[in-house]
Amino acid sequence: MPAVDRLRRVVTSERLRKVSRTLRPTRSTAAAVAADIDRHGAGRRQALRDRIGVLVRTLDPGSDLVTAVDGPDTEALLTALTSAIEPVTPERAWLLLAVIDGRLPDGDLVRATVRTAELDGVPAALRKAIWSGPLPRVLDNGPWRPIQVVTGQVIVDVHHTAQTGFATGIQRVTREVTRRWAQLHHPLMVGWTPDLGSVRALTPPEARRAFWGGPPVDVPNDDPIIVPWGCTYLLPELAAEVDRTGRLQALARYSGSSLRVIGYDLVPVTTAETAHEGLVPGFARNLAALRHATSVVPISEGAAVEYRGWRAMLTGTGLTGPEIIPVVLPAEAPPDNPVGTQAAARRLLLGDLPLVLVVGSHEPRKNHVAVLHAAELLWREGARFSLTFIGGNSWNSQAFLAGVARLQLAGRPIETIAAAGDDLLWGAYRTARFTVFPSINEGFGLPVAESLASGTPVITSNYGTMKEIADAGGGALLVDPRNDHSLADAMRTLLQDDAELARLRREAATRPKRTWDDYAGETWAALMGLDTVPSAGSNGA
Amino acid sequence: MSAAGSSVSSTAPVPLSPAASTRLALASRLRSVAALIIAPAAVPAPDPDPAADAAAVLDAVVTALVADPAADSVWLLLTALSATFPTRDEVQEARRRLELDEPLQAALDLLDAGLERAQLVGDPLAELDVVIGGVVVDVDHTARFNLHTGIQRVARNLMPHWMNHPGLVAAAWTARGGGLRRLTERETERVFDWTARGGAGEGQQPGISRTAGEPLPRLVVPWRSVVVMVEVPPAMVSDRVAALGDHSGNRVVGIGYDAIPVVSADMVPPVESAKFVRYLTAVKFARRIAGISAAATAELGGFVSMLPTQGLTGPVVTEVSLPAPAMPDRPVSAAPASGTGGPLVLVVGSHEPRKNHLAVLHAAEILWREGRAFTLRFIGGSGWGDEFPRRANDLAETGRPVEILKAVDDTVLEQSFSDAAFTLFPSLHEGYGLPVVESLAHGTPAISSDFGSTAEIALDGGVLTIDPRDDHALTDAMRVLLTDPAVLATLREQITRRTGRTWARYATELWTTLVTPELEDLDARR
Repeated sequence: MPAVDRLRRVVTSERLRKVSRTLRPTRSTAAAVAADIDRHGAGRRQALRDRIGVLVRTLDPGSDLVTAVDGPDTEALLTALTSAIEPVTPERAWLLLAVIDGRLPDGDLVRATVRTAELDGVPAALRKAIWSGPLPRVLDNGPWRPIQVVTGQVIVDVHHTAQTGFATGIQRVTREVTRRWAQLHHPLMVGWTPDLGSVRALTPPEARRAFWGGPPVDVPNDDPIIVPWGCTYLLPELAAEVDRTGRLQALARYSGSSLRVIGYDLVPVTTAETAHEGLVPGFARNLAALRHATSVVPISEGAAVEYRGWRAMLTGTGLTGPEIIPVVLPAEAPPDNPVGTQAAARRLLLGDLPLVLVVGSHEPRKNHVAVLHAAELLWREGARFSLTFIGGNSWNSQAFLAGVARLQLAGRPIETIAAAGDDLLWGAYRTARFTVFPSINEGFGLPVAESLASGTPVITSNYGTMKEIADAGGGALLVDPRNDHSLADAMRTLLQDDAELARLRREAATRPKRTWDDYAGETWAALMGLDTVPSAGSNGA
Repeated sequence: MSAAGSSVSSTAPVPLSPAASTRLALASRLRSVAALIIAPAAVPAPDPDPAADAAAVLDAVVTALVADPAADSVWLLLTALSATFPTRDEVQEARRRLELDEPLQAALDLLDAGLERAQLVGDPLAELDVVIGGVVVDVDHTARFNLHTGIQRVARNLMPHWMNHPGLVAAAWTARGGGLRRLTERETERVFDWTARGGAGEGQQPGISRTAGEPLPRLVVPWRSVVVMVEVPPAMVSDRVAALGDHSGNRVVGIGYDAIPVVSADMVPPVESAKFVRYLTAVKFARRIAGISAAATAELGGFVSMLPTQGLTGPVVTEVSLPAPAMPDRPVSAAPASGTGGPLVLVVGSHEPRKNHLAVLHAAEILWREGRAFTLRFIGGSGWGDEFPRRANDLAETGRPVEILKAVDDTVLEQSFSDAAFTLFPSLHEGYGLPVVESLAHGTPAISSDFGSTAEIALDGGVLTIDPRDDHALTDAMRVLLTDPAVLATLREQITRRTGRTWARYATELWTTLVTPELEDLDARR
C-alpha cells in the first residue's frame, strides 16, 4: 500500500476521530489555542498573529487591548480578540474567517463558526479558521499574504475580464463600462486569486487588460488579500463558478457589503434545451447568490422580465431578492471607413449577388438551421443572393455544419467565417443587403443593434429583446423564428421589394443614437442607487 | 440486437431471426399509426411480407406528409419508425426534410434516422398501443422503485382515486427513456395498491423492476390525449416530453412540486440544477401545471412569467394544494408517553443542508446544556453533506440522547409521530412540507418555518412558526414547547379543530383542474 494511502487511512480512522473529539474541549481555551499557534513554524505563527491583530483593530479600533497586538503574548492577543468579537454574530464570524483564513468563507462555514462560538467560545471558533483539517498545520507553509480590510469603498470585480484577451458579449460590456467608471469614479478594481478563494486588487497592468484586453500580464502572488467590509461590491461580469458564487453569496449576506450586479440573461435556466449542461450548476449558484444582492441591472427590458420572474420565484424561501432596474445596452457603430468597407465588399460579395449576413455563433439557440432552410426554400424559388455567416462554432453546432455542407455540395453560395476582425465585421454589416437574426432567446441581441447602427435592415424575432430593439426606432422586419416560412417570407420581401428595403434603411439611419457613455453613466447610477433619472435611452426610446 | 431478439417469446409462436422480428415490428408500428395520418381507405392493403408491407405503408404516409408536413402527423410517424417519442429537434428536422426532399428520398432518410434511434434509445422490436382521446399518466419512478418519500407518496395516494376514470393508462418510461410503456403487474401494484398491500412488501428490494425475462414493452402512444406528469420526469426524457407538448397534438399537464434546484441551488448538489432546468424545458410546452402549495405555484408561475422573452406563453399555473388532513386519524392521548430520556422530539426528513438539521442540533445542544431532558430522533435517509452525521455523532458520543433512524418502515415512522411531544421542520425551502402535515395528522404539534409552504400549512393551527435562519428563534420555540405544557396543549387543541381535505378531494380537484378542461377542448376540436 502506498504510504500516502496508509497515512490517509490512519488519519480518517474512526479511532483518531474519536480521540480528536475527546480532546477538543480541553484545547478550546485561549491558552490552549495560543500554545498551538506558538508551536507553529515562524512564518505561520507570525502570519496568524498579524491576522488576529488586523481583526482586533478592525473590530475595535479604540480598544486598549490593541497594544497587545504588537506584544509577544499570543494568549493576550486571543483575549483581546475574544473581548472585541463577542457576541459572535454571523457578520463577525464572516470577518473572523475572512481575515484569519485569508479566504472569503461560504455560508455554511460562517454558520458553523457562529454555533461553535456560542457553544464552546471564541478560541474554539477560531480553530475553524485556522485548521480546516488535520494536515494543513504540517503541510501548509504559506505564502502568507498580508490582509487588508477595506471599508466603505466601491469595489469592482472584473476577475474574468482581466484574464482574457478576447471579448465575448459580456466581456465587451464589462470593458466598456468599467474603463469609463474607473476614469470618473476611481473604484477599487479587483480580481480573485487562482483558487477563487480570495479577492485582491488588480495591478495597473491587470486593470489595463480588464479595460482594453490584450496579452497576458504578470499576476503577483504575494500582494495583499482584500477583505471587503461594509463596501459596495459591483459585479459587471458574470460570475458562474460554483466556488466563487458561494463566497459571493456569503459576502452579500454577512460582510455588510452590498452586492450589485449587471444581469445579462437567464438563458441557461429558461432555455436549457439550447444551453450546454455544464454551464448550469455555476449559473444556478450565481442566482443563489443574487438572492442576497441589493440590485440587479439587466441589459434590456426583456432580460428584466426574466429577472423579475426569477425574483417572483423566491417566495418559498422567505427572501425578497434584489431590486431589478433595467438599463438598455447601446450599440455604437464605428465611423464609416470606406476603405475598410470596400475591402470587406471585395472579400464577401459574389459577383452581383446581394449579400445576406448572419452574425453570431452557431449554437442551437441562434436558430441558424432555420436560416439555412429558409434560404434553400428561396434558392429553389429562383431567388438570387449569397449567404454569409460570421461567427464561431459552438456547443452543438453539428446540425448547422451538416446543413452548410449539404447546401454547399448542392452549389449554393454559402460562406461561413469563424472569426472576423472589426474591419471585416463592420464592413460586412455595411455591405449586406440585410442581416438575419432569428434567435430563440436573447438577453439583448447585439447583432440586431449593430446592424441597425450600421444602417442595415435586419430580420429578427417578433418578441423579447429583439423586438424591443426593433421597436426603439425601426429598421427591422419581425418574424416568428419557430416558423421557417415566416422567416422565408421576410427574406423574400427584402430580396424583392426595393421600396420596403429602402424604407427600413431610412428608419435605421434615423434611429436615435445611444452611446457607451450613456450606458456607463446610467448603469453606474442604477447600480449605486442614485436618484438620477435615466435618459430616454434607458427605455430604448 | 440478438439480446433483445432472444427475449421475444410470449408473442411469437415460431422463433424468428432478429432481423425478421425487427421488420415485423416495424410493419406493425407503421400500421398502428397509418390510419391516423392518412384516410383509412388510403392505407395500402396488408402484404404478407413484412418488409414490403412496411414499405408500402411508409410510402403512402410520406407521400401525404410531403404535401403537408403537419407537426403532429410527423411526430406520430417518427414515433412509429423509431419506437421512441421524438424530440422537438427531431420533429423539426423531419419536417424540413419532408419539405425539401422527394418523397422517396424523404422516406429513406426518415427510415434511416428512425431505425438508428430505435437502436440507440428505443426497442426495435417494440409494438405500439395508440391511446386515442385518453389520459396517459407518467408514474415512472413510483412504478419502478420501492422508494416511498415525497413525490411517490403523492402518486400512490392519488392514483387509486384516479384508477376508475375511463381511458386512464398508467405508464413508465422504457429502459433507455425513449418512450412510455405500460406497467408490469408488479409496477401496477406499486402504484395502485401500495397502501392496501402495506407498503413494499416482504423481500422486495428497491430497484429497477424490469428483468431480462420479462416480455417486451408495448409502447403507449398518446394521440389527441392528455399526458399527465404526476412526477418530475427525469432529465433524459425532458426533450421528448417537450415535443409531446409542443408538436404531438397531445396536451401535457402536470403537478408542480417546487423549483428548488434553480431557486436554492446552493442547497442541492450542483448536478441537480443541471437536471432540473431540463425538466423546465418540458414545463414550457405543457398546458397546465397544478402547484402543490401557494409557494410552489408562485415558483412555477414565476418561471412561466419569464417566457414572453422567448416568445412563449407557457402553461397555466394553478394552485391545487396537497391535502392537509383535518383531524388526527386515530385517537390522541392527552399527552404522549414520556420515557426515561424525557419527551421525544422528532425530526423527519432526509439529511441535506436544506432541511437545516444542523440548526436543530445546535438548538438541542443549547437546551441540553440548560438541563432540559428530551430525546431527539431524526428519521430520514442520507441526502448529501457530511457535516450533519459528524456533528450528530459528536453529540451522541458526549452522551446526548440523539437517535438517527434510517430506512425505517412506516410503522416505526407512524409510531414516532404518535409518541413525539412535538416535531421540528425548520426547512429553508420546501415545495410543501409533508412531515408537518403528517405530524398534525397524528395530533402532534410542529415547529416549522415562518414562510413559504410550511407557513401555509401552519395557518390552520397546531404549528409554531419561526425564522429558520435564526438559531435562537428555533431554540426559544423548542424551549417553550418543552417547558410550557399550556402552549403545547393549545397547539394540540388547535389541531383537533383544523379543517382539511382528503386525498379523494385532492384527486378530484386535480383532475378537474388539469385533465377535464383539456379533454373537453380536445373533444370540441374533434
